[in-house]
Amino acid sequence: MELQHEFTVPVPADQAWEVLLDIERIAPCMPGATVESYDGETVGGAVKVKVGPITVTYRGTAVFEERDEKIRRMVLAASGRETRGQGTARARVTGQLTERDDGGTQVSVITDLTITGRPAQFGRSLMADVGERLIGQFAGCLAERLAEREREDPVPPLIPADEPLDLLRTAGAPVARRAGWPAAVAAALVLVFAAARRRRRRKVRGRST
Amino acid sequence: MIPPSFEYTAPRSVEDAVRALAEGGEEAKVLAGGQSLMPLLRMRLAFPELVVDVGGIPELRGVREDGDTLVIGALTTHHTVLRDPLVRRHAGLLAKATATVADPAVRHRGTLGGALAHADPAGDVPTAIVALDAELVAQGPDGRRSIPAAEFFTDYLQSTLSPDELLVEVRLPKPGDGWGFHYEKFRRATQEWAVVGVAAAVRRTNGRIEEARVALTNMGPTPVRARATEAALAGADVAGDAIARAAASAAEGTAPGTDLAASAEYRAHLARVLTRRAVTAAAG
Repeated sequence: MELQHEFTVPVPADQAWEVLLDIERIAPCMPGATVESYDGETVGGAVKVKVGPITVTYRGTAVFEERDEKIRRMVLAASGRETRGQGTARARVTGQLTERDDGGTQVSVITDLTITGRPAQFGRSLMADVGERLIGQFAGCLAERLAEREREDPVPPLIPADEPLDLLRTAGAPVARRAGWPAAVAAALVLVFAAARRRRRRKVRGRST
Repeated sequence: MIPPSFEYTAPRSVEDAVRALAEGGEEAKVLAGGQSLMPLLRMRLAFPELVVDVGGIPELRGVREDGDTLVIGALTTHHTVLRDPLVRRHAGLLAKATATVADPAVRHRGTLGGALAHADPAGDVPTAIVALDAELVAQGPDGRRSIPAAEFFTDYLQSTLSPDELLVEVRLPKPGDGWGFHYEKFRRATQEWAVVGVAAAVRRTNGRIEEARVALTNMGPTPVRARATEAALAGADVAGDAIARAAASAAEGTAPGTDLAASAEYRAHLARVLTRRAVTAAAG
């Protein structure tokens, strides 16, 4: 399935591009994800997702297929397997930043998602909204973080993933349609990748001092 | 598949059950009839560390009257609910909806409280309870509290019950005279979940509907009342096309999903058609 989200932020596009890579700011937008490895290209991690009594944990990898700073477009390919089942999750997340006439930036996120296994079968039709709302919430949080870029806010610490991502609590008011995990996985894997990039940048900064 | 490993405890009283739940926290799960939890365990979709089997607590079973209120214990099976004379007289809609749940084997094990606590919007029992404006009584470490049905279901498979609370009984106000009811359930094969279902209760006098309660199954993340239809039915004539016109707004405010059984559009269409049928049947 395909999920689409768009939002605008009142900062120029090149600033928005930088902040999107500033993991400390956007990590709190998506609890439940952990980074486990990073070899310079591929990020390995896990995300635990909870829907009522059902919990699913995916472990997988994510890699940027495209990172074009000139046109400000990124494409992330992520895939994971259930840790306690035979299901899989595969996501292709395309993020596009566009400069607006008023000096702000339009951010568009298109997620192409495939979920297999029992969660997809059991979820019936009532799970898709969970994913929609989750990505929407993540996007809204991103928007806030991007708008905060100008202010020198103290950076919140990266949230440890002891708490599973409780889709129904974080998603707030009435939700639920098709499969909710797809979007959660996509968003979480984006986060996971961005976290590894931060580690890399930290290392670089350390070397240059 | 076989379930994942878990610790098991079978308390003999509500207090012991609540204590076990409080100790287990988020990792504890109540086992009643097992008709919702066991499939989750067998499919390895849930991994509770502690299963609290409340099946051995006798005071949770039974149907009784308490003045103007009908009280049904949470552990009362669907089989008992649908044939109990008190339920049939004072909460006929619940009996009728419960009779459509799955099959006799499931109905002999599944319980009223279990079906409500599982909070599946495609379940028939939650919808009937919402239509009847029941009160759900839960007991936790801080004592008992009463939750109106309209507030109980919060999301798909989620209710306002905290992890350390046990649903103990359901209280239904005895309706006055003049009420008729009907539960209309659309499914492609017997024993299946409702593609869409409609629970209707109607109070009529002399060929007019005075008030109506209409609740929908599987039209969103929780059972949902068709408020627009209810408002349109107040004061409507039973004869003529007033019911059909009111039913045309049945899908307003709903968020049906698309799956292998039906598209969202088809579900909305079913809601309108089944509401017309259910209200017509309820109005006699």
